[in-house]
Amino acid sequence: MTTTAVNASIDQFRERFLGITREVGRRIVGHEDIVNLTVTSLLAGGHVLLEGIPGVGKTSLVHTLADVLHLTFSRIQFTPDLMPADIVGTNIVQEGTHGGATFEFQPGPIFANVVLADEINRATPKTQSALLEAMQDVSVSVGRTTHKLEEPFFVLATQNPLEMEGTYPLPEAQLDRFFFKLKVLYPREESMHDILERTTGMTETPVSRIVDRGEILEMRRVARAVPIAKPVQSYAIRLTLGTHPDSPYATPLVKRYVRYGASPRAAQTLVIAAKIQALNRGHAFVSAEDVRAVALPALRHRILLNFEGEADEVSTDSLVTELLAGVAP
Amino acid sequence: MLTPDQVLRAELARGDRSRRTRANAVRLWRVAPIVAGVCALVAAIGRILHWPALIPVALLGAALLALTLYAVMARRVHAVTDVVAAELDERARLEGELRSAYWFSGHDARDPWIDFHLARAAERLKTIDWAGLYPPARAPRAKTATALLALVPLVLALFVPGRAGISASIRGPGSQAARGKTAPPRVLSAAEIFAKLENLLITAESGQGRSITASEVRGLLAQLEALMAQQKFPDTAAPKDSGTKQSKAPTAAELKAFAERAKRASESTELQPEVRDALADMSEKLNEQTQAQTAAPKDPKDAVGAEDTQAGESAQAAAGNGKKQDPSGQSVKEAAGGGGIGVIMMTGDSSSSKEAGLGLGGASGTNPKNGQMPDLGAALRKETIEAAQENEGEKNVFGERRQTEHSTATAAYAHTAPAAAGRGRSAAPPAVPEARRAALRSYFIRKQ
Repeated sequence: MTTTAVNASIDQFRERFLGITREVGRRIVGHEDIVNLTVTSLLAGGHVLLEGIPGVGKTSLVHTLADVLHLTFSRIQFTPDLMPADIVGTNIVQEGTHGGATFEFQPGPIFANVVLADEINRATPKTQSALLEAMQDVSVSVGRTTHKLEEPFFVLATQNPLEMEGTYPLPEAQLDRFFFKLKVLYPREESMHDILERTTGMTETPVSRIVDRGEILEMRRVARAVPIAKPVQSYAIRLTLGTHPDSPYATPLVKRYVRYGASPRAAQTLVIAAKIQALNRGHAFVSAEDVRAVALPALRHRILLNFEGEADEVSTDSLVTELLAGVAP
Repeated sequence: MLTPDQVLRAELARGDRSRRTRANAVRLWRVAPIVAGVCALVAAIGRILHWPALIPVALLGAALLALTLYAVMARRVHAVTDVVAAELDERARLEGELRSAYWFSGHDARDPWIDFHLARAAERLKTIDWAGLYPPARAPRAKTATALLALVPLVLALFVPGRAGISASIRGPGSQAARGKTAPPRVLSAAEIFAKLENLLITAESGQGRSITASEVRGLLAQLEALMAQQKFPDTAAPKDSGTKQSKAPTAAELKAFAERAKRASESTELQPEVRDALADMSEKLNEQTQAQTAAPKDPKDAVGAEDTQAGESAQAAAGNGKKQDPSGQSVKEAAGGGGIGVIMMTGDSSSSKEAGLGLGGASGTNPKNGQMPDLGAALRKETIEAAQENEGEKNVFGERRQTEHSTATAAYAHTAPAAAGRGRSAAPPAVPEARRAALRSYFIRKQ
């Protein structure tokens, strides 16, 4: 690979990235940053937890993304009576043509490239944990057989922060497996006009398929090739360590309100996401600014508050914001 | 042909040089006026304190040398660090490219991406005008101030010959006159004070008291108090060669007369209330002085004390020898408030055959001057005044009595809030604050 090829790779990556976000933006209005970070997570090989009140476009975003990416899509509506087998699939008895019966694996809805786990916190922990292996290893084990999932495998889970009755909050281990936690906020007034014009008319806004599976995998490879200088990497590490109350980089708020900080997976997330942000800006290097841009969605769900933090209703966002202000690049 | 690494390092060094030049110039011109000011101050002080003129000039030269040395040292080539690279990057708005490229240029790891990164960073760096980003520090005001302040020591050293004049003008009488308001007032002699008092009282008694001011009387009173404080009063007199009237020290009778006149004057309605108050104070002060003068022995030898008592005994024993002895006598000093006030039985000083004078002060003796009639009334008054002022005096001990009288003990009731008495011995846990109650309930149901 020559420097010319590198330049071409960067340009192509950027063009495709902008193409995806532009196309998704034709349907999803007022959530440019959410779309940007969702695509970043897809290209990094991560999964996204979308949190927002009902009706702000979480499910629409996932649907649109699946349309634009030319990938197989499945949706799982999580309910309390959902079983793991309903997600990963099960072995069923199949009668042979010459008599006799054999067990045959019937894949569940998780066997798709883009999986929408709608209202994930409504399912029991047992069912939720069925997603763990799939999200981490891109494979599912049924009986004695491990079935590999097709790459790219991208889980988008949604949850509603208001209705907590009858829900099962995700355990830390599962939360940590989400690359980003994105908060889908209520759209602004000007965005509401666009939303109404696009959704209350006679026709639905069509979207084109911009990239296919192979191109996404190629974009993933390019993203990981971006070099990162040690000082910038050190900054990502310091930010991660700063979420721990006993760390020398911890801020006063972290020391007071945090029980456990982010795992090393958070540092990996920061670096990979920063590389994609750099490419998206047309850079062949990672800067501290790229790390800062992804710190909030990468760290907010990986910080566990102590009792005082819960009682004072401290937001992990405020902790990360203070951390960004306190840790020098 | 330079490699991107070399271009990068050269450009970084250039940028760092511009940065340091500016930073040092800014620092230098911030310090230079202060240094020049210190030199000027030292020069001025040196002129006052008669230092040699060479000292401020030498100090100025040393300061100039030090600043020059600092400027030269600061211009030396330094190794560029990551911090410097980050600062240059931020200044040139390179969005982290320079910092990242600087780090990669110092490491051997190479791949097409790093090469591309370095090549692009080198290309961008070539277009940067470091001199424009770090323009030379102008600091016109600092430069002007430094130049002017640096001139001061030179001017003082070379063109101000009158250092004696400076000191003379500060120490001479003229300066004292100029500082007239701040100089302490001259202490008048007793005769001068009473001459002034005489004039004042004459004015008051002649019906022209409206011209007298309270500050005038108070000033005179202050002079009187100062004189009493210095204990020069009894023997203070104006110089011998001054007028006869002024050279006389006032006697107790004269003092008493002055006090009474002042008292009368203070009751005059023609005077302003402040003047009357001041005259009343004056009268009181004169009375005190009168009493003190009456009670004090004229001669130190007349003082009554333990030594004199001993001397008196020996003198009495030796009296039979018919030698002239110092006036002495047994004395009984009662528990009086004022020193020297007591009932004294005196013997005659010369007659060995005569009996000791009878009566108070030995008034029946042949030499009545040897005994002084004690002013019992004055002693009683003094004691009363001291008692009134809660002054224990010498022998009045009544602290305990006063303590009892002034006791502040009060009866008080304890404020206890009415509360239901608990039947059990265990206390209830503290109530959870309302604000935290919901959080406590939902603590184990963690929100996402």
